Amino acid sequence: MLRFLLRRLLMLGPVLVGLTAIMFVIARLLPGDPVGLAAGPNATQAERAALAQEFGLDRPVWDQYLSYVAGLARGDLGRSLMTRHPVAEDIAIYLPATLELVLAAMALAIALGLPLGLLTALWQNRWPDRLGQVLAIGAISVPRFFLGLLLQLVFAMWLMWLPLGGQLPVVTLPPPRVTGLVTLDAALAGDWATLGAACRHLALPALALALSPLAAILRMMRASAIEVMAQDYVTAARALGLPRRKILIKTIGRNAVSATLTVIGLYFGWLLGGTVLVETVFDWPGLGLYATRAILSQDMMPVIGVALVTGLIFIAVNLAVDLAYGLIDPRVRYE
Amino acid sequence: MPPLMPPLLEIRDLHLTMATRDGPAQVLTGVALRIARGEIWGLVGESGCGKTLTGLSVPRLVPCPPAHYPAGEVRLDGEDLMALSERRMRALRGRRIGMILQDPATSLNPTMRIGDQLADVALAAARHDPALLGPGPARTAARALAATMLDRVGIASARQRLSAWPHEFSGGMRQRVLIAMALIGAPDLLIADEPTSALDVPVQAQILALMQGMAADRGLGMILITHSMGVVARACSHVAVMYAGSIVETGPVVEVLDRPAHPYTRALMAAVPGRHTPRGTLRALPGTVPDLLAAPPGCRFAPRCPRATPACRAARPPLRPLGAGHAVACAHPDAPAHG
Repeated sequence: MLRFLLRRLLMLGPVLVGLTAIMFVIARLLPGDPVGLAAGPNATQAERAALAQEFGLDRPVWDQYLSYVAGLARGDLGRSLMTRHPVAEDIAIYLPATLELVLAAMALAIALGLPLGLLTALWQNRWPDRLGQVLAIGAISVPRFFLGLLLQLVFAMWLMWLPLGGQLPVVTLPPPRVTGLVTLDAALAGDWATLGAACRHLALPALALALSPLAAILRMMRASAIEVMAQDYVTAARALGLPRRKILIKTIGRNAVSATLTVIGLYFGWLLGGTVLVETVFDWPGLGLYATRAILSQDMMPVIGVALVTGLIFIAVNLAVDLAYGLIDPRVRYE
Repeated sequence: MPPLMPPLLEIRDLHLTMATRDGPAQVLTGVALRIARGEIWGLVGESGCGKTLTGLSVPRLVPCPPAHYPAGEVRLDGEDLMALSERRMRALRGRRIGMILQDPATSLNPTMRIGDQLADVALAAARHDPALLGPGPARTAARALAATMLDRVGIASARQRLSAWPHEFSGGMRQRVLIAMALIGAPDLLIADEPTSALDVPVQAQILALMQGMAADRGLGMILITHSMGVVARACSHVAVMYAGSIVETGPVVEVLDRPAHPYTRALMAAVPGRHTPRGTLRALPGTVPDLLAAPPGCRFAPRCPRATPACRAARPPLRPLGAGHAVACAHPDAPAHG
């Protein structure tokens, strides 16, 4: 187990170096004038040269790359031309909001997808199952930004149950920053009113983001549970008189769930890199908005930094998934 | 007294039809069995003759549909199981009827520890029979009972083995665990489907001896489903020979094996090589089990039978008693002389 973890962590180094190298090359290949964009239309030639020198953009690419990698070792992700802040600080500000959104969406998708998948497998080919299948395909097919707009229209405009966007009401003071996740910080501060407001703001964007992983998890769980239900040990459990609920959860559920772990891991990464549309629709101050603005102003350091951080989180999640396999099924436990 | 006291298990005229893509197949056509406490019945026959489905029909584990029971009764101590609600039936499984499925390699949940699986069965049985676990916290008592049962089926250092996973056990040990699971609810009837077929020969003998011992200790009635006359001869008190969905010969093992009356029984016995079987003379039964979709109206064995007459093909012979509990369903049996 420990050796497995160490081996996986050692593999991280080459992955990171490769990722940054590719990003650097792509950044240079893109046509455009980032310095010009950052300096503004009225800047003089001398001002532009000063800006380029300040950010090291006048040096050859390989030289820039080497100093970037050297900086990485110290946790320095470079500086943004746009915000003039260190990228690491910017990310520290925007990442928690995105993380909160993705975690909430995945929690929702897992909490609903697993039991619904199990139940539709049990009701295989009866009407609740058919309905579930149609809805799941619908949920996968609808574009997320459109779903976001639809949710806003129904729940915020017509029913007026939930707020339209943002993380908190404008008049509410954010809780003291500990983790950066507003809901968690509010709970830590014991500020239940703010926690309630934060949850209400989180609900719609999380739902918009959750629907397609929910549908994918449901379908995977259903298929896997149907396969498990044909196994001898399920018949054996029935022959031994185990209660139905126990058979459903411990016998069928436990054996079916590991197949969904892969989908969960993949969707986590997919959401992390794909929140921008939902963040835009719901005015959510997250990493997606930050990265988009950086791309539009050809500001490459934040883009590389965001790619690196999301990549790292993705790797960590998939490592956790690999470990979870072993927790669920002792036969695939790592030595 | 016997007429007043119903037998432990009585199967009467059990018919089972299975819906298939090509139409209904008549899988069981009038199975009849009477089993008393303490008797070990061997249910023997070729693959596809319906012995497994007969076994699964007792605790009603055959999924309906595709299966359908047009006629028949299954009575446990006189109570008709076919008429019970699913809820009442569930209360009998594991507690009054223990069951061991065919393959020990796939009958245990791979994601649960042995002890937890055993304890769950004990807890399920105790819901209907609180005396099983006695006083005190149920979970603790169930685990203690699990350890006792593992010990009883011959697993060394049972208490430590409770936390083992199924994949850490060999085939023989898994079969021992399954026997323990089937018996932990203290059932009166045990149905074991090919309990030794997947095991090495020395382990087979151990498992058979273990099952015989447990049956004797607890006064169990037992159905041992097997394709092997050798297992019947070694472990059973009675035998029922099945062919194509019905029982063609039945009786005490000593009677049937010494004086087989049905040509099919004789053929099955001839297929077992004995100590004096000369090399190169191993007998195989010619032909195969008939197509259950288009079964002939008469005796289903007639197409393979050396003595079949037109009368055999016209009407099915009923089970006729030959004396000493021995009965045969054949128009031209080898008439054994009974004293």
